[in-house]
Amino acid sequence: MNRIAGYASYLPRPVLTREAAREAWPRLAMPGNSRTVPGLDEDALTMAAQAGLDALSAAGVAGASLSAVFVATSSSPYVVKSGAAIVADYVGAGRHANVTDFGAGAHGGLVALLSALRDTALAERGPILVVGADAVFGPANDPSDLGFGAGACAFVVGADGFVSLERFDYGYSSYSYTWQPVGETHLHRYDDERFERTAGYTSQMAASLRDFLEGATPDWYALSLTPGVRADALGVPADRLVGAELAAEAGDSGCANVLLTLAAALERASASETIVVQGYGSGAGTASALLAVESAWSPAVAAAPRERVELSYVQYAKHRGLIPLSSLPSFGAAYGASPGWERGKHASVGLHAGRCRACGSLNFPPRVYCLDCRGQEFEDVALPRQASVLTFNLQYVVGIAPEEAPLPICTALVDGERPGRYGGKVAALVTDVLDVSQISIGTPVQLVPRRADVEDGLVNYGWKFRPRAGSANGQEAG
Amino acid sequence: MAGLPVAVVGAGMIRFGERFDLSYEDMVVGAYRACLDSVDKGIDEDRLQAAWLGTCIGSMIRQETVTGAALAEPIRFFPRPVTRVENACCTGSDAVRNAAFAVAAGVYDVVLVVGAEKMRDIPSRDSLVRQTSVMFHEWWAPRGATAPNRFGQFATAHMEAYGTERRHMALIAEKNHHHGSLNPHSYFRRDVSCEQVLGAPIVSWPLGLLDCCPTTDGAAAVIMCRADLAHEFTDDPIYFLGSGLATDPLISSWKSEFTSFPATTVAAAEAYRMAGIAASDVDLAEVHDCFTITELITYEDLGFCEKGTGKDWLESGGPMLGGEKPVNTSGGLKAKGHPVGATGVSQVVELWEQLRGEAGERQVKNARIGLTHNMGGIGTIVLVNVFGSERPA
Repeated sequence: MNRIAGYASYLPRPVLTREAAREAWPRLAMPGNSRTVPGLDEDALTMAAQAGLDALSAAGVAGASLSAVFVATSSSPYVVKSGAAIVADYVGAGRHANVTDFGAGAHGGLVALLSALRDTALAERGPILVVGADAVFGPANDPSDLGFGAGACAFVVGADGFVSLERFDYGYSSYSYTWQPVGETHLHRYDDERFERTAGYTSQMAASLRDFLEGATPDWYALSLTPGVRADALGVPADRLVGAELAAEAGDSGCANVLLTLAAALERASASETIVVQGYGSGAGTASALLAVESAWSPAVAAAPRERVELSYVQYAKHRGLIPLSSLPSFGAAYGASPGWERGKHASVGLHAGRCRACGSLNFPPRVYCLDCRGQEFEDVALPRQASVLTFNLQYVVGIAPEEAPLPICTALVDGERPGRYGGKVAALVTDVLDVSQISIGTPVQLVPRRADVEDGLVNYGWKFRPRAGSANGQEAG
Repeated sequence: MAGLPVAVVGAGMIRFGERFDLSYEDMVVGAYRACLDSVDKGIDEDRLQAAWLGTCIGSMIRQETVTGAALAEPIRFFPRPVTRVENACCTGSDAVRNAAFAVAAGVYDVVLVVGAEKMRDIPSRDSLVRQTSVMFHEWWAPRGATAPNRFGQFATAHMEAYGTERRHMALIAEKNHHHGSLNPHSYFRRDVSCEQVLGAPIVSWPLGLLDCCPTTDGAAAVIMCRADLAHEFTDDPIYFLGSGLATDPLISSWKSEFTSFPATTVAAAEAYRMAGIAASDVDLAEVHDCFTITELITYEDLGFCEKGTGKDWLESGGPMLGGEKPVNTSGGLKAKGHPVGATGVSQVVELWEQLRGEAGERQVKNARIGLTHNMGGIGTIVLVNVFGSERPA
């Protein structure tokens, strides 16, 4: 089996303290002292990348030498798209690295670590980077939200290292106390804590631990811990249980949880001591491992002291997306509210044109210099709505209207106007056409008011041609 | 042409195409190096006194403002002057025109022109199909009309007026793809048959997919100098003989006609006058075949044949290799590709090879005078530049 060669933990700086939470929710008790929150520009994958880079530095391993990158998270920004591949980009993994995502249960970090420790064929190609990372939230008005947290923990696993895997086991259960439907950003919870204690975390952890240890007594217990959980409820000696303080300060950080606890245990363990690690995922079950510390841990770089920034609840709400952050308008949106639309609507919606007093050319929309003679005096006239097609095309690749292709578009000569001049014409879509062979050069058409487009919910109102019975000189048939 | 005679002493380009492997800056550097390599006797880069950069839709597609620094930075040209030119599909040609005029005016001795466009860093349907305020329309603003829409209406009108058929447009696609198959710089280097063109999906009837030029990445570069200095760089320069630029309204309802592009006729007449030639003196032309119909109408507007007889001149083999005036021997926009700001500069690269007798399988025999023609908008901006192999008097 492979060995652990290095590790690093990462907790984001922002925290919500018990006091700040109480201001917003006087009747909801935070189970620990504070919970961690990703920064506005952080998510599970950036935290995973930071922990991964730090673990590689600690182990003295180059990213390019990695044979695999395993990332466990249940809060990737993607349903489809590998988060592990993004972390692999950050650490500079080679093109042939095995990039695999784990998650769906909060024991996923340990499942990923066990997969790495057991895969000797992979480790022959190079070290394996394992990261558990999560940013976990509950409903904002539920106490569970105050007990969750965010963070990441990474391990470098290879053929050589200072911690070995003695044995392992799994125990599955589909019982769910919490779950997160697709498309939502927080967990739901079955609101019966006494049933949860009977069927869920406490009972499954205690039973799996008892079965796995078979009476053996490891030196340290590194378990998935929720803030406020008691060692005696898990059947564990309190002075050998690590991570309770971490859970009370950081909260339950999902797939990072058990790995952060293991890292804390490795900080305390001496050579030749043993650590039992057990992770729990609601709706998934447990994973258990017995690890042996072979030699003292001497990291290549010392971990930086953890910084904390205490958030007000309003700031926390912005970090969670409960209050939207300010944003810029999207480019070109809502033309119907813009100055250009406001300047032009008299002509474009009201159908006003200019009739040149010098040469009689009909200029639409109205202009300052006549299209035909550069005259500058115009009579403001209503644009006649009847015309005949001068030329047209059938648009199959449509970018300008909601209608189905093929969409006829024409340039038409306004009835009574002379062809061969610049003025006297209107161009528009042709609507209400069931058979495009109805349209040909000379087809009589009439402008009708129709919707042109919708942008940012605002309708652009305009005009389209529809075929009419009759001839180009305006005489109606029948 | 008024002013000092102007010579082209180097011209080079990168292979056009979907260059996902290259950034805008990579393309600029690639074209610049290809151009330096083309200078027969070599050139000390410090001789380049000023540069013109043609990029059209950079600010739309890259969502950032393109300035002269987009050339000065990647080739470490600063602090020398770089003017950024944008004039729709005439962008590259207009950069060449203005650089040549600066030399003719005696302001600079040796100048650089680079045209570059990065169109495929966004999905192709996001670039020209979803145009933003490029081809104004009062009821579709700010989205505007698409180019196939506008040129399709010219095809319909030309078919009605002169009996032109889709088959004739397809022949142009077949010709230009064949030329492109012979050009190592070309995006498409494969033949297509007339039947394939006619059977392709319709984009904007009467224009099908293979009547349309592709959305393309690319860059090209040219070095020009005072003609009396050309011998320092090559014994075989070509010469910039004249240029014409003309305008016409953009929007459909303000066009005066739909079977010709009046600005082409005006720009060509000006360029011919400046060069002291007639249309009959032109041996070959690189013209703006953004759509096949555009090339067909352009035969007539440039005076290569009578109005309304473009299809007949085509069927007689006039624009074919070996014909009266081979058109788009490079493959044109249709096959070589149309990276807007680079297109007009790359047309000069083709003439550089043709007028020096270096065009290999697509060489036009006895090529002495060639022109480049670009059209921005829908015949809205037209630019014709004329080049020759012999130094003007």
